[in-house]
Amino acid sequence: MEGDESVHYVPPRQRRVRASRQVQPPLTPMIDVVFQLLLFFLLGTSFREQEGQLLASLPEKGGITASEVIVQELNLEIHAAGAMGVRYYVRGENMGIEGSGESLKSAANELHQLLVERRRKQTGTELSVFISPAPDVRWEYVVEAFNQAVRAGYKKVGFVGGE
Amino acid sequence: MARQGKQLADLSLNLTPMIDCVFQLMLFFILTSQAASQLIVPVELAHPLESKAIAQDKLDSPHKVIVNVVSAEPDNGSSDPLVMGKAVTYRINNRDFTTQPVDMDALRSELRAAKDAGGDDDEFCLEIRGDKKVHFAFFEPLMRAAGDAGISRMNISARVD
Repeated sequence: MEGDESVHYVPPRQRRVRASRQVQPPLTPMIDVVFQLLLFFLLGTSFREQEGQLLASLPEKGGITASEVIVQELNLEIHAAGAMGVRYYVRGENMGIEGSGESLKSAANELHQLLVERRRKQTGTELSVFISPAPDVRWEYVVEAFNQAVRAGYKKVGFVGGE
Repeated sequence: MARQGKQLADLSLNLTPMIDCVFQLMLFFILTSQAASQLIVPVELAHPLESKAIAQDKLDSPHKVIVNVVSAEPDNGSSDPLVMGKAVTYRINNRDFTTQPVDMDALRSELRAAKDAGGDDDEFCLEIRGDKKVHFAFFEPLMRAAGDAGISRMNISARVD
């Protein structure tokens, strides 16, 4: 038993075609490498939330003190209300806006409405917003106030130094 | 018996669909992934209502210094007064600066050096990547130090809607 090939006659042309069909590059190493890469990406990837920037300007050298702020400017104070809450107070308004837990979003919306209202009342010169947060206020509430001022259409929003 | 053995030998998996899927996955990861920068530390950024933060890729701020304000609190928060609202470090250019007490001179000189290295232009800005849990008391010295270092622009990192 020498095998079927030696028994049957295969024309040379057909033999060449069959030979070329059987040529196949070894796929195993490539698949190995691809799997290694896939594993690397699967284990090494951590999806990040999309990040953006709120554009602001810093106070001049030495900082602006609360007493230097011109009366016509809109002064927004931020105070902590309990461990996790916040209280926004716009100077000149009787009531502050308080929020904590579930009511944080509505507080932010209320602040936005107030800022829009004050901007609408302003005629002539453009109104600037000065934010003065208390030292124990969480950064997220400072960013929230800044964002609501920008959202309300104010062009000049800055911070006031506490000293 | 011989026929059964031949049948088993001929049995092979069709790998083509699997390889197709693997290549699709590879392509997805390669196109979507961005190498993590060492200048950026994972912090829990604030997510304001209807965020007006401008996406990073739409900004052209060639010269900036990134200051990461890292919280001492764990991600799920803490009621421990020793860590609550505290920052554990300011990370600037891969260097850590103490927060308690704040070393104002070191901060000033680092920010000034960064500004000088950035070409000393007016477009140079301070980028604050602050953890949302940290109290404002840890940000004010940073703003003062940047102001003293002659930086007039500031970008506040926040999440985009």
